[in-house]
Amino acid sequence: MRQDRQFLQTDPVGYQEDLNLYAYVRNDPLNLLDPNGERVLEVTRPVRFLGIRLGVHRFTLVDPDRGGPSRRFSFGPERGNPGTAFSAVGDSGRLTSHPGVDTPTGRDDARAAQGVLSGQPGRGVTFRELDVTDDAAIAAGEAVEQGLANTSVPYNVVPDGFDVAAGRGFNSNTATQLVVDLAGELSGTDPGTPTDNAYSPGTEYSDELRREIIPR
Amino acid sequence: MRFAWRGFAAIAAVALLTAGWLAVDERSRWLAMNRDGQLTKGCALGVCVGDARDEALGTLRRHGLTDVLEVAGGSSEAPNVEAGRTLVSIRDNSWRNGVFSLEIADGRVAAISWSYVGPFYLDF
Repeated sequence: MRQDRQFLQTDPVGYQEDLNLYAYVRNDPLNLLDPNGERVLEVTRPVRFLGIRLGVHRFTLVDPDRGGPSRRFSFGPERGNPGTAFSAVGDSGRLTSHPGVDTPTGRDDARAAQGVLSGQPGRGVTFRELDVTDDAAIAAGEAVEQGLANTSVPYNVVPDGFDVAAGRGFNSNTATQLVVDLAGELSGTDPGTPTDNAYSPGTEYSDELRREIIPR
Repeated sequence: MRFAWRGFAAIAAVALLTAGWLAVDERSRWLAMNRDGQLTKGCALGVCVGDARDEALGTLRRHGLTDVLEVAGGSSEAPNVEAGRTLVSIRDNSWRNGVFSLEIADGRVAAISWSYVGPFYLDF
């Protein structure tokens, strides 16, 4: 890090010259260090359809094991416009943040987070620790939340390459992978991609989502 | 002709049964017509604004709603709830698939809200 407190890390996506992500999220990289040593987790919970497990939904969790409130970054279909197996693209409204426990997605993620933090993950819930700092993860999560609030990205239950090229939206796994990518950049580390081989549609399109929601 | 009448009768019977079901089952009605709702006066599922917290939870238990999670108002888990209040979130794991929430202030229900998504919900 330089004396002027700017990161030297370049953007692997390749358009850093257009985008000052660090200024966008906090403009204070020194404070993106990790004084408390808190863990940052990517939590995975199963998505079931009529009781059958189809794949997984991912979200990011900052573990408050040394005090302070936890932060959870969850995403899903817009409230009141649920994504279903039969939804046409665009019928589920926007891709939005689900921070509260007053929607099924937010509530299920909160319960999964509670289980992970208490050492008793629920059925089918797994997690991996990310090699990123807690402040970087929070900054990244807030950037994605803010980016989605400022734009109107459709929610797409299972986006494919054709949908993405046609601007037909992304899902919660895409947004979570973008949080992980940005947290890695802010930390100067490589948090990697999931290794559990679970079916996690949408994860691979985080770069495309980034181009849509993070200002250049 | 007789075949057509039978078809018509079957469709009418299904429509009547559905209408009857929606008339008596409040949660199914929400699912069909009002997936996201909020009340600051009145009642829902037998719980009324002004009820004592324990009384309200007892009423919801009788509906089979027992999966309760409480979070502090103003926290990141309840960003739209006033600090000092508590948000009690009750997961409805029935086929209707939703969340019924109570905002508690001074031990009493101050607001009621719900968010129902139905059995085909996928949130990848």
